[in-house]
Parts: sequence; structure tokens; C-alpha cells
Amino acid sequence: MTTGPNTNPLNGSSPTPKLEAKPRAVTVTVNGDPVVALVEPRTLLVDFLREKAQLTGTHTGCHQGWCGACTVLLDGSSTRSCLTFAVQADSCEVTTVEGIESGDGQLSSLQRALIEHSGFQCGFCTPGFVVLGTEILAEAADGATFSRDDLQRRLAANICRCTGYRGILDALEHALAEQAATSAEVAR
Amino acid sequence: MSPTNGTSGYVGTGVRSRNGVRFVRGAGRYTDDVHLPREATLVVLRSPHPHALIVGIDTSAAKAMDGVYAVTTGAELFDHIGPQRYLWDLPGQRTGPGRPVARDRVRHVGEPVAVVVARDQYVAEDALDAIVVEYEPLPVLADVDAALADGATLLHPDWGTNVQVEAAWPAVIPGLPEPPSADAALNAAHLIVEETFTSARITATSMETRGVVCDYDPSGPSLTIYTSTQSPHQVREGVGAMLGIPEHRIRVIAPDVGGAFGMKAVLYPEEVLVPYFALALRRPVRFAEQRDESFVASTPSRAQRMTLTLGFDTDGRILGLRSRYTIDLGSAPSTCGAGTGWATGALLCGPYAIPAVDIRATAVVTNKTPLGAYRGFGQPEANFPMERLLDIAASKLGVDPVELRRRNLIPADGFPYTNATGMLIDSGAYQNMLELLEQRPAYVDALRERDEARAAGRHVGVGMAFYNECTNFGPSGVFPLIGIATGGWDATTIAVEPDGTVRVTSSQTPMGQGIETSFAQLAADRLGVGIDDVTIRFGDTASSHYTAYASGASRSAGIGGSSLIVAAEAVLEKMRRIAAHLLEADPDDVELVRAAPENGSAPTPPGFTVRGTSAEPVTFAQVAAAAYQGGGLPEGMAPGLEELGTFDPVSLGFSYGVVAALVELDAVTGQTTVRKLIFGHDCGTQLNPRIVEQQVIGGALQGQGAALTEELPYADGLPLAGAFADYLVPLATEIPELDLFHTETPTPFTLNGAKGVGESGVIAAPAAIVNAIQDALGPESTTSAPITAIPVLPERILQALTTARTTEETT
Repeated sequence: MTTGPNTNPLNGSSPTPKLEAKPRAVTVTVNGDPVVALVEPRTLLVDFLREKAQLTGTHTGCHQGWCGACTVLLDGSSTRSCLTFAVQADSCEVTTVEGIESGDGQLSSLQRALIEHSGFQCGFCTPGFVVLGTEILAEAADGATFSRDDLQRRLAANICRCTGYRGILDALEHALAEQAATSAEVAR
Repeated sequence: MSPTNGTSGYVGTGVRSRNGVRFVRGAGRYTDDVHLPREATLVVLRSPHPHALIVGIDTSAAKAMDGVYAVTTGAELFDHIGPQRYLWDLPGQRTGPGRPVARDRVRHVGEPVAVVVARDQYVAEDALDAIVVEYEPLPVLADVDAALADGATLLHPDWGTNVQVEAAWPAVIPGLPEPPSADAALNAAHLIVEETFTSARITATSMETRGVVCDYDPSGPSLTIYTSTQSPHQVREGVGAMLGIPEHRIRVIAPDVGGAFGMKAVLYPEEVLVPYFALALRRPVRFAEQRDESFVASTPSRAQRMTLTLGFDTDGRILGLRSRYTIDLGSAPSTCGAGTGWATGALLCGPYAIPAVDIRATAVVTNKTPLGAYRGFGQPEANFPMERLLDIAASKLGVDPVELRRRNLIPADGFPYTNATGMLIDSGAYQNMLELLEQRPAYVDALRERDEARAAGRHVGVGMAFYNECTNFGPSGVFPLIGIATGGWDATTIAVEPDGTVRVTSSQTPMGQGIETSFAQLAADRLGVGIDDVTIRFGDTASSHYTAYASGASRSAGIGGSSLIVAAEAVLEKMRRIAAHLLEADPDDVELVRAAPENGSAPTPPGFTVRGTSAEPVTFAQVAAAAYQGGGLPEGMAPGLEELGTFDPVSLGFSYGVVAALVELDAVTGQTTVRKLIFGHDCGTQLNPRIVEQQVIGGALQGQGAALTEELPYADGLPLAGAFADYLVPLATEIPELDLFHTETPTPFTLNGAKGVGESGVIAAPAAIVNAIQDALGPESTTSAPITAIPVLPERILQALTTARTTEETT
């Protein structure tokens, strides 16, 4: 039996036919700064961020869309950067974990809460959870409310293998409460 | 409360992680974040066949592609890369080719067949697709039964058998009295229970896959290898031996490790292939394992089936134990050999006083990825059969399951206790732990909730399991007897810098377990300095002293921590002698002045003073300045202020604990929900209770995954899991309500009383959850057969519930 061009050992599928793949220039605004680079149509956004923008905080845990370590905000919405092509982000705004802290380097309330509540161990999934949690906080700032069950369902978008999630969940609840208290303070 | 300025009493407090600020900013530096000029990317072509001969490989089209630097087959590499060595080399074990790439025969899906090095991952994967391999499929050994059947194909024809190694307990040692007969004990028993239990093949799935980056330096030549490993020195030894390069020309660095769980404890083929190609191509080479290939390329674990027999007297005391079990080892031993299988037998008695045992283990090769280590290392495979069978026995004896365990646990006055497999159990207060569970409000509530839910017709159950965990893995004198090729000691170097601050270099490797933080606490306490004046370094063979076993087997706190204490005492002693010289006093009259005294007065610099005088202390900085200037030291003293500490434990330390679970079964979907986990644990002295708690919680959820969802299924040698869509690790929606409590029974065998905690969470959670499921299904007698296999998938629950209903209707 001969295999080749090689089949995928895991699902037996054959490779897709090759398309014309000339590099093209894209401009992505990453954490407020424009990043210009030549990419192939198949270049993934996560590879663009890690290698062209040299922001290695966005991690690739699976390249398959399941683990969420590569989560970034694409025009404000959480997105798997491993399932997004760089060309799809052309002329878009991307926020990575490096863009969550304030301009002068102050950690966000969620980042501080993750430290306080031990919401990480090895730290590899942490960037994805920081970005996902930041999106949830933004929704809450716009008036959405979340029960603990709701938060668990949202956090189930990402995988953490170390912590058992409790510290992440506690940190997010804490940050939400702090944000609510602050906005109540401002309202008063 | 964590002290911020104080210098006494960091140990035992929940100091926050030192990695936090880096990790939440995305500023961790993992292997795949390391990029070097002119780097090329290596990818591996893996076999799609479970068992086949390689008839031919045509690499010409791949080699001709733009941006491809090398395409190489196993046959071409055979004379250039020698066979691997084995960390676990059990007496009598048979080994496979041990080469990183197969030459003429593949034995599992995922086995490397050829290697491509190219401009980047994209180009390299294109080239993989262009390689043409002709295979001649061979009969597949799908499981242990097929491999042991009469006339089965031999995976390694030169072995003459598919049995890789066997082991038996008790060990009969010439000259010593013959151990008690388990046969006689079982024959005399009032009750004998026996079942066959299965623990599925599962895998660690650290969120960071494996990765290797190797820098090439033409002078020498020499290599710097960045790799996601728990054991940098082991990697260096392996690479040196397999490539024939002297070890002093190889530097191995473990940057931040994004989870490991034992899976990254030993040498992997890619850790040799990457440096080989860096040398061959004279440029840096990188490898990033892809998640789909990780399910066949990273070592899984467990995969055991055990028939366990226990005999009881009329009081429910265990008289004897018989165990026959197989380990589905995969196609050939990894460098971990059959280590996990050995540990299961050696540790099968767990926390119980069992007078007579007869245990036989058989490791069998099949057409699957070779087994390696995963958190628990053979102990979950021992705990599940034992704790399930105790529950089954309890119902037959008419004894409460908690009471049955109480009667059989090693008594508090029985330590240190040498058990029937020859393990010395150091310390514990096991019955006390059981009592604390019974008094725990969360446990009392769980029992009440169960009864109320049952009355309302819901399928709710409570189950428990006891465990102990073998930690502080050593000592070096014992390792050769159990087939481990290296030493069991560890090392720490402490330097007091010229300005009086402290640099601690540990030979342990962090991977999320927090030793950067806990070791800073320990060092600050021991040296009397503020924690901010301590830096912990690690993970670099150029600076971390040689250690063999490194970070695994829950050895950091006890063995690594004790070596830190030895180094601290050595550096303090030298400083005290220098201080005495500066103070013109007798060294015996000079004492340490801590940076902030325990009475809480204002912080002062750490230093030394003459006992009982009001002489102005000399500070660490002044002592260090003298040490590094070198001209005014005591007669004969060498300049500098850096000391090595090593520690080899007298014996193992056994952590222990109890887990209770409250579960609910959905009669429609068959889904199990773990509502509550109550977890009591004891790991001796806790360096940082916050870290201990995090280890237990995270481990327990991994145990829940093993109990309910995780499995690497194979169909006739073909793996069915290639993504997190197929391999179901627990998600945030699946976490139980947790109630934790702890006791501290220090081990006498380390300098700080610490035992390990890394594996505690994962050991007994599966048995507790399955015992709870069985409780929810109703008494053993009303269901068709007890649940004896993990994971317990929904179809198994539905089958049991259907049988129970049918039984009810017919009676």
C-alpha cells in the first residue's frame, strides 16, 4: 500500500489542492499600532501576531480552535486567531493580551484579580482567558449581567489544564464586582 | 497574610505567585517564543499505519521544493543517531530499536518515518505532503489480549514474545525469611471479593505542546537547546549519548514550561532530531509539536487492566491480596519504560496494612503510542481497583465503607511502616483524616442532600476513597534496585551577591507548580532576608547544578527544598566566619541578625553581630564585599560567596488524604455531574498553602476527567482522538463545589518536613467519583454488574439504569 501525497494519519483525509498563494501586504492595527507585513493568503492571524508583530503573548495551544489560548479581540469581539487568516484582519483592529494593560503599564482589574485569586499555574492559557474575560467585562460595562453559571459557560470557551478553573472564575467575578462598584461610584 | 517586609515566617503563608505579573501580561517566555536568526523549522512525517513494513520512501519531490533544506528518512539517520537510553530500566526489560525515526518497520500510528527541515512550518508541512511512502501493512495487535494470544504476530521478532517485562511482589530475598503466603491468607478468609478493573489510556495534554529550539555555534561546535522539559540535565545526557557529542558542549535550557504533568519528564525523539539537524545544516532549527500530532507523539499513560482479589476476616480486616495485571505499553518502551506499571504493583497496598500479597505485573507491547509518565505515575491505576473493591467488599460484609477503611488503614502508632511490597511508609495519621471527613459539615450535608434527592426520585450518590501518594522520590541507593538508571538526590546553589542580595539556583524545573515562589519563601526564611532580596533561577544546565531525576515524582518541596536548606546553612556558615573576622570576634559568638526581627520592629538590613553585645552589626553587603574583595578574609578561606547544597533523602515521604464525591446521574442523557468534592489532604509541612491548595484542586479536576470523559480510544490500532473535540478534558462548566481541609504531618526524612503534593489530587478522585456513581445507581446487588472501568461514559450509566429498571420490573 502506498500513501502519498500523504494522508492525514488521524482522519485519512487527503490534502486540499494547492491554490495560487502570492504574498500580499496587509495592515493590521495591533494594540493601537499599525503593523504592515507581507503574508500568504494561508498565513494565520496568530502567526502574523507572533512572528510579524512579534507579540508572543498570544499562544497556540491547538491550532484547531478548541482551546482558546490564541483568543484575541478582533474589532472588539473575541476571536480564535488560529482559525482566522491574517488577510481577514486586514484593516482591522486587533487587541492581544499585551494590549490589555493601560498605556502606562498598569494592569487591568482582571489581570490583578487573576494574580490575587491564583487564576493560573503554568501561565500558557492565561492570555486567552485575560482577553476572553476582558470581553465579558466590556459587555458588563454595557449593561449585561452574568450569573456564576453564565460565567462558567462563557469561560468554557477556553481550556485550562492546571487550575481547575476556580481561580479564573473567582478572579473574573471579582473584577466584575469591582467594575460594577466603580461605575456605581461614578454614577453617584 | 503574607509578610511583605518581615523575614521570618514566609514558609507556611500564601505568598502570591512570582510569575503573576509576567503571565497575565502575556510576557511568559515559552520555547516557541524563542526565535533565532536563520532558524529553520523541523516537522516529522508520521506513520498512518499501526503496523507495517516500510518498503520504500521517495523524498525527491519534497527535496526539490523551494525553501526545503533537508528531507531525511530513518534509514538515512540510522548510522548517525544512536539508540536512546532508558530512565526506567526494569530488570529484564526488553527494548525496541530506540531510534528517533523508524528505519524499516512502523509499530504505531504517529511513529516518525521521515523528517523535513524547511524555511517555516508552512513550507515544511507542504514538503511532508510530497513525500511518498510505500508500506506493507502487517497484522495489528490492537490490545493486550491480541498481543498475548497464541500465535500472535511478534512486534519485535527478536524478543520471541510480546511481553516487554514482568514484575512480581513480594520480592523473595535469599537469606531473609520467606514472606507470608497470600494463597494461605486467602484460603483462610471469611469473604473473598474479586473484580477486574480497567483504567483507560489517557494523556496529560499540557496546554503548551512539546517544543524544541536549538541554536548552533560553529566554535566547537556547541549547541544550546531550548526545550519544554521537566528535566534539562536528562535531555543533555540523552542528546550527548545519542549524537556522540561531549556533554560540556551542550547547554539545555527549559524556559517557561506551559504544563507538563510528567509527560515532559523524559527525553523525546525530537529533542535529539532538532540538534542533529542544527549541526547538519549549521543553522538554528526549531520544532513545535502540533496538537493533532501530540495525541500520537506525546506519551500517554495508565492503560492497565487488573484482576484484584481481597480476602477478609469476619471483622472486615484484610488478610491477603492477589493481583494480576497487564500494562498496555504501546509499541516499545519509551525512555520511561514500564515504570508506571512497576509503580502500580509496588504501591498497590497504598495506605492499608495488608499482611500478605501476591502481585504480578505483565507489560505487553501493542500497536499504540508508547506509554510514559502522567501525574500519578501508576498510583491512580492502583487506587481505582483497590478503592472500588473495598466498597464492593463493604456492601458484602454489611460494613460502612468508611468503617471498613478505618479498620484496615495503617494505625497512627504503626509508622514508619514497612508494607508487604517492601515500601517504607514514613508517617501519617490516617484514621484522624477519616474522622475529620466524617465530621466535615460539607460531608454531612452531602449525605443529607443525597438522601433528600433520592426520596425525590433522583439518582444521587456519595462515594469516598482514601489514598496515599509516594513523594520525595529517591534515595539514590535504592534507585538501582528498582531499575532507575540515575540518582535520586537534588541540588541547589546559593550565591550572596556582592551587594548582599541572594541568588538561588535550583536544579528543579518549574512547570506551573510554583517553586519560584515557594523556594523564595524557604530561602528568605533560612537566610533571614526579605523575600524581595531573593531571586530564584533554574532550568539551565549551564547554571543549575547537575540533577538526574529533576522535577517529577513530587520531589521539589521535600528534596529540592532540603538541598536549598543545606546550601543556605553552608553560605551562612561562611558568612558568619567572615563576619567574625570583621568584628574581631570568635565565630561561635557571632549570630545572624534577621532583616526584620520576629517581634515586628522596623526592618533592618540582614547581618551579623556579636551575641550579647550592642556592637553595630556587619551587614550581608559588608560581608559580601569582603568575600569578593578577597584580601581580608580569615586565614585559608577562599574568596567568593557561593555554596552548593545537595540532599539525598533517607527514604520516601508519603502524602495522603481522603476524597468524597457527591454525584448526580441524568437518567435521560446518562451524564454524570459531580456536584461536590470534599478533599482532605496532608503533605507534611506546607511551604505555601495557597500552592498546595491549587495543586489539589487542579489535580482533582484532572482526576474527574479520568473518571468521566478522558480516553484515547483506538480502533484496530487507529487512534480516534486527534483534537480536544475528541479528547474531552474538563471545562469550566464541569467544576464541582469544592471543600478542602488539610492536616500537616511532617515527614522525618526531609530537612523541612515537606512531602510532595503534585500528584495527590489526581490519585483518588476517580475512585471516589465512581464509588459515588455506584451509590447513585443503587446497591451493588440491584445492578447487573459493578462499574469497574474508567472513564464511566454516559452509555455505561444508561445501561446500568436500564438494567436496574428491568430488574425492578421483573421482581
